[in-house]
Amino acid sequence: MIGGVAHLSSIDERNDAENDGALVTAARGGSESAFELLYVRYRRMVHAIALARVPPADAEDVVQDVFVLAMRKLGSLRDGAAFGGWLAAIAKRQASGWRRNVREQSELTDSPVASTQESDEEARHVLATIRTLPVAYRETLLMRLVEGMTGPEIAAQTGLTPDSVRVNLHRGMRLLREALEKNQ
Amino acid sequence: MSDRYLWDRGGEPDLEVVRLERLLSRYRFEGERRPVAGREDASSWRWLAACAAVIIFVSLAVAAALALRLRWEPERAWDVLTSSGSVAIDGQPIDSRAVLPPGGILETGTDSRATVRVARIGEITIGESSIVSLQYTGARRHRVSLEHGSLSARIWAPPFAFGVQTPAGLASDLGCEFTLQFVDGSGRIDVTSGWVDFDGRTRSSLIPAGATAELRQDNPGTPHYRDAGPAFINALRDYDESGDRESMRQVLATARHRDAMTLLHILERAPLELRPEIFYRTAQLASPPEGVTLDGVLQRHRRDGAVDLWRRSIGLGGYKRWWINWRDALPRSSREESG
Repeated sequence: MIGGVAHLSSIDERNDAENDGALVTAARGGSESAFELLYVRYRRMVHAIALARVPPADAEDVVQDVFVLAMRKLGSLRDGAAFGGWLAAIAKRQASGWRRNVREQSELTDSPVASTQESDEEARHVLATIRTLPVAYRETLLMRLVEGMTGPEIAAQTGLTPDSVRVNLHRGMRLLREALEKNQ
Repeated sequence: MSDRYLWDRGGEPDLEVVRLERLLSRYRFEGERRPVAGREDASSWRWLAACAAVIIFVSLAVAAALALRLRWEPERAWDVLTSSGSVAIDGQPIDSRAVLPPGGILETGTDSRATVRVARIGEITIGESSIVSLQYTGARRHRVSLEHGSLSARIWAPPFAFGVQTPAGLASDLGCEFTLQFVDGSGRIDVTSGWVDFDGRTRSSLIPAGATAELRQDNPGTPHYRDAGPAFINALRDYDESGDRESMRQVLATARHRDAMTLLHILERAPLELRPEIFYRTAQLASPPEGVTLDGVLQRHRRDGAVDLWRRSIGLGGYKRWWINWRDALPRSSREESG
């Protein structure tokens, strides 16, 4: 059992299951710091899963809802070491059920950073293309290309094997190149 | 081309991957918002709103049903629901559409009985060889008089809405089911659900479900649970008749933990000099709550409050929460099925 914030601060951001188990135990006991660390550790993964399903403008709201839901349901998670896979499942459900609204119609029209019109257009086009790929490739590519996560990080957080992640990245990238070339 | 860079950003950079990384970095999660426990997702809000709507609807329906249940025009006659054998109202044999008007007297012969609806709040069943009159019925209060025989009542209404006057005193319903018998100057009351407040000429009793009390002219006996031992019941009967120290000691000696209910009644009524002994024996059976002391029960102005506090501490304080006996609002067969 983790005793407090001081101890939590000694837990680094390595994605090992043992650390997750300790953080989950502490979070269940009411430690906001522990949940904060879980949030910092997994927010990029959850965002990528959301981005694979909802417009960019809504993805951050999905992230919020996923963590709020996870906070409430943490007591039902039997194995704290399985937090990543459990959270990913929640994220997929939340993002899949996300309300369709007017933003869906023009889903890629808003860009979060100022940049040239051409690059905006190209970014929207690439993201839209990724979202046409099979869902396993789509999520893994978004974690890698958008969130900047490495293959080992993706494997550790999602609960997928490193081999599966490697295959998803390789095949996903190949499909993406083909699709982009076809659309040029 | 090697996938090394795609895998862990190691090795020679794949220029296409680098370009896509830069291009898509604008969608990277940079939110500084932390999950807030009070923030609910849309589906949760919908769920909460639906629950609130259901609760409001049910509350309104229950309130409307209760208002209708309690409404009754003054002096309106009560319906006779069933009868068997020889039953008469004001000396006239009744038929299937009979009613009992205010002031009316219902009499049953041997092997006869009748069930009468008490306004909209319940019903009474009058046993054989009984005489019952309807004294008053109105918007909030209904009274009958049992002159002789037996009467069973099932009522679901606020306390004191229904009462039965007997030669031993007035039995007031506190949301309950009970049976009264009174023949040739004596009788008894048995409470099976909720509470009955029985007011005699000089003493009153608060009788809970599972308890009984003997009735005599002008006053009720001290109530006791029906499962009390014969020695305790006999000693209690002796004490009710004599009021002497010896029989009181017999009562105290034969009391069980559950009989603290009876001892608290005795404590309220006993002469001042007997109270310390009763207090300490009751305290052995059921510890008094904080603040209840011998001094308190010896002082008249503090006694009732102290005993009431003690009674509540042993789980006998529910007589004001009449609505929890909602099963008494169900038809008799439904209640029996539900346990």
